[in-house]
Amino acid sequence: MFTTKNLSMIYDMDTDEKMYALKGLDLSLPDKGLIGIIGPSGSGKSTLMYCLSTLKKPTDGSVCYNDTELTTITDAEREQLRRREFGFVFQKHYLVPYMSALDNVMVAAVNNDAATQEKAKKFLDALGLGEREIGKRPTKLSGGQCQRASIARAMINDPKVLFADEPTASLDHENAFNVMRILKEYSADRLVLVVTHDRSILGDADRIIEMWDGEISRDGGTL
Amino acid sequence: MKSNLSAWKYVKNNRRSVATMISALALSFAVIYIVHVLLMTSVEGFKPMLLEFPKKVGFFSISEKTLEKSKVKGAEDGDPMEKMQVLLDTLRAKEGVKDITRAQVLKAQLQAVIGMWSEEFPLYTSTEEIEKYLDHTGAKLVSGRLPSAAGEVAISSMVMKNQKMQIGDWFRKEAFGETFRIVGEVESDIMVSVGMPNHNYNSGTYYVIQYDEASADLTAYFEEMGVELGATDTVYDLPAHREHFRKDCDELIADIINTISAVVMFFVAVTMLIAYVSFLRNRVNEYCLYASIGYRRWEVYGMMMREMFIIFGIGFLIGMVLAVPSAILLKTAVLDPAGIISEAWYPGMIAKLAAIMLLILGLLQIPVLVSIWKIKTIDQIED
Repeated sequence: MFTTKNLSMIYDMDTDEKMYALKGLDLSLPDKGLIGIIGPSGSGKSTLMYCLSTLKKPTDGSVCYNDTELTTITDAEREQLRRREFGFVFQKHYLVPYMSALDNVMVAAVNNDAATQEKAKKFLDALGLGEREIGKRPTKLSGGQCQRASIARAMINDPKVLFADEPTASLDHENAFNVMRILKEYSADRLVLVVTHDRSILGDADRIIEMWDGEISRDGGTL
Repeated sequence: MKSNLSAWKYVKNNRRSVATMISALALSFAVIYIVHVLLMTSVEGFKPMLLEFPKKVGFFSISEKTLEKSKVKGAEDGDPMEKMQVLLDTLRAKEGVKDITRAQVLKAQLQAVIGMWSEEFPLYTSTEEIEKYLDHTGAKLVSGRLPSAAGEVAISSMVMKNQKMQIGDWFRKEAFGETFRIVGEVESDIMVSVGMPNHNYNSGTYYVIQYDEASADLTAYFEEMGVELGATDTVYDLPAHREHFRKDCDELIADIINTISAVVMFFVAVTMLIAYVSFLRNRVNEYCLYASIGYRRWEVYGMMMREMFIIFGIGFLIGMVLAVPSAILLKTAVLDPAGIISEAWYPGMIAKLAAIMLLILGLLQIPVLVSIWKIKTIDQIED
């Protein structure tokens, strides 16, 4: 699904001390499965995810998604991809504070019909947010509930790829494993990329890519 | 692909802040409208005096000096009295001119919320002349009786109500003392008063001319006849009154209204600008989320604009719903009983306020477009 060649990302390009976030990465990712990208802070794991998801444009190299070169497509095509084919779970939930959990899921939906609304409710229910919670605003929900709502938001358009950046960072152990279980189930027929520094949550990962200083230090293993 | 960025969600879920903005707008629009109604009393009140009355009655006085130096058509050079006679005869022969009488005049006053206007009315020496005058002007005696003795006057209902006069009172005692007694009340759309002179008091003499609108341009007539009108001459005809109305009422009041509207709306615009900048800042993360999950900038911009239109539209509607009934109440409960002529319905002003609203919306494009320009994706925030 994804193939990167010589993928590089350099910050502070104009200064003498260039900072390499990614150093010539060659990588190939399948159509489905749960893939964990781990590494310490500053290792480039989030940058890699953002380059794959078109949020960042790499300084050099290529990112190929289903035979489409992502580094050369237009902004509109990039936005279209993010809207229709990619789903995002960010480190913070980024729920819109004045909307209910259900509205926060629906805001990302491509369709705004009753069937999609039902689907959103189903997702939220599966993620542990029942009838009572879905009408509540983020301020009335716990951190875990907010993060689960943000996962439902990422899933609402049935994306082919789900990018999750530290999805369990704000969750307790139990909630973290629940979220990972959901992501694992979700990865049965699509690609789920989880960026984390917490190795313990990647027990069910199909593949783990370890990063260090902008490079892949280990690829292919599981825990 | 249909956008799910609904403007109503923000409006419905942020009732307090939206209500504050809507209230500020509604009150500003309502205040401007009410101020407009109050100021327009100077225009509405003086309209009958300045635009209607001079279509029926004119006053003029030409000095001997002017007649001496003017070469009046059809008159021998020299004798000003003969020139005056020629002028009067020619004028009397004009179509539409019913009567020209040399008579003393008094001034009736009408007060508006801002400003006061004084207008002459004739003092005839006989009841027949008074009746003829009332017949020409279409005025009717509605109370008391017509003047029949020296120093008696019948005053327009509008003036009596406005100046709190009653039959039996001395007319403008502060100016004329106990010289003119009100004996009757006259009703007319064009504000007609009439009286008889008090022989112990000279209140100024003019030629009073009763004519129809087609003959109401006396200035043109005198110029055509060769009279070189100067500073010592007075011609109160329709064009002169129209000019007074244009300069001293219409334009002056329009300038005052425009200035007040501009000042109020400037403060409203600045307040809205500050409120909107902070409102947009509070929503940066929301806009960044939309950009990150694939919404286009113009979709976010569309949502922001729809929100603005809803807030401004509701503000405007509530403002008008407050303003028009308040203006009607003001008219019926305060202005009408005080004898101040007013109108409560000004569609032109409503259109003007709508234009002002669009202008403020245009101004608010600046922070909105800056915000749109500055929208980042979440990766940039987290960097």
